Amino acid sequence: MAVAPAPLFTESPVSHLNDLLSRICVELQLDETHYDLAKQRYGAVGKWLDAPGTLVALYRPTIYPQGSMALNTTVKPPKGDEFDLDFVCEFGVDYRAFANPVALLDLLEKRLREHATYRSMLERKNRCVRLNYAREFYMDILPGCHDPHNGGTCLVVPDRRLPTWKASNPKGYIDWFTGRTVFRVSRSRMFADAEPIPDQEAVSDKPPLKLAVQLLKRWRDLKYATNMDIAPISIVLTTLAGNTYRGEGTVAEAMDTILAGIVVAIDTALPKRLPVRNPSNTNEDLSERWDSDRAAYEMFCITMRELNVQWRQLRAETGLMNVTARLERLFGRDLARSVVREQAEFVEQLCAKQQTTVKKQSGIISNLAASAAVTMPRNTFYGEEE
Amino acid sequence: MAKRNKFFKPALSVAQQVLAMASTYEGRFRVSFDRNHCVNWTGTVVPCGLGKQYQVRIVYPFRRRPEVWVVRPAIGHYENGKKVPHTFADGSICLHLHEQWNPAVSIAATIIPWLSRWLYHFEVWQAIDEWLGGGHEPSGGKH
Repeated sequence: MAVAPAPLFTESPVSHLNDLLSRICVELQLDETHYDLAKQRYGAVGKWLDAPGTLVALYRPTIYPQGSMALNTTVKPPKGDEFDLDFVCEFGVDYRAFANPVALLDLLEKRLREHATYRSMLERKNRCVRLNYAREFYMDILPGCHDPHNGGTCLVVPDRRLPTWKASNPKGYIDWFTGRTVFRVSRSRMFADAEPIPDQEAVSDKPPLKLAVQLLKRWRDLKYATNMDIAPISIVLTTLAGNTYRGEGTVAEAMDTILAGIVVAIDTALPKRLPVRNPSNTNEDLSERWDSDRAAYEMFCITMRELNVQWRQLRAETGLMNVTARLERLFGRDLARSVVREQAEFVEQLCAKQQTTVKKQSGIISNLAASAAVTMPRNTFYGEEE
Repeated sequence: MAKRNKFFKPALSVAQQVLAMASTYEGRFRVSFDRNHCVNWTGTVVPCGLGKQYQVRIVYPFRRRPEVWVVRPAIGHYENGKKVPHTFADGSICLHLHEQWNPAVSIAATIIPWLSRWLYHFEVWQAIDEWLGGGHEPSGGKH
């Protein structure tokens, strides 16, 4: 039995916009080659740390991704090629085995310095040790130990500056976020599952919440390009998005709900600031920095309200030129233009294969083979000089 | 009996063209006749989800190439000082090579779908300043 192919993105304003937004996210994320490379690299680091006979190996270290790499919400930085990838190096011992928090950071650093290559790439940070893979990514390795007080997947991690142990729960956060990504199956997805168009599959596979987080982070990177020090941090944006998302089936609709939800949350918190608690450890306020930097919070509120307004304007816009101009403002000129180009090239490929039709009722280019559409015969546009 | 040329296809009559337009598009295009006895169809086209709605006019001087005009928002030979790709000097749209259309071909089955594709690429061109719909630009002279 023949199954209907997934409807072409051109079908409706929202499907058209969703296709553009999904393509933006694909352009932003760590590509497959670099993703595999990152996996290979952290695997090698893990092996080095766990090499039998070393002091570190006695603490049974395991290394795994956290943050955007684990959540699949990576976003290419606007300048430079290096993605920021975060990893946890979990030691299978009670933190009290260490004299002080810095001793754990030092232990990790010392072992990495014994490696001829890692030595030259290493950089000390407040809570982690960074390996700098030039033109690929920064690999931030955050050491941690089990937290005997909280149990489960809870960790304590050292803070060099304070210096003290801080509570953390990267695995718990990943579980929370993954649970939040569940979305209601939309009509278009049911079709997509029946027989996906291969070229579109990769674009439409990712849960809308993850795409929305990528868009928020991209917007943040551009909006705060000149003052990144007061920009809302990724985990705050990710948590706010996860908290306000209501299972919308597409990224555009997810953004509608998330942005409206964040603005409502800001208003509800007044006259106080919005607390953003770590869902995997509610004692941790991820946004505590806003206590000491009121200006950063004010800026967050102003820019969020502005984004919400600009987003509504984008959603109400018609005409590809106007939509593209709004996308350029939100997510960057080159990126917006390149996805419009990609889309048009995709349509042209279908036309060349004679897989497009035109809907009788509206004239919309489609891939419907049914009686509601007319097939698109081959043609060659011509013209005339002035 | 005269031997029939197997390549010969008789031209569709005006009535056949009008009927095909009416039955295919179920009233989306209104038909009228102008002073030059040309068939005129006016109707709307939305090329894609985010596309604008365009009011278009197709003028068919019987047996000659149908002329295609985008009336509102109006599209001409130039826009903001740039030549609009694949348009004639009079502002009408050039959808096909000479040999790709003849009076035996249904306007409903060719000109109308081609116009959607043209309008989509026109919107892309407006947005990113690149024409991605392919085609030939003559180096000069009439088509």
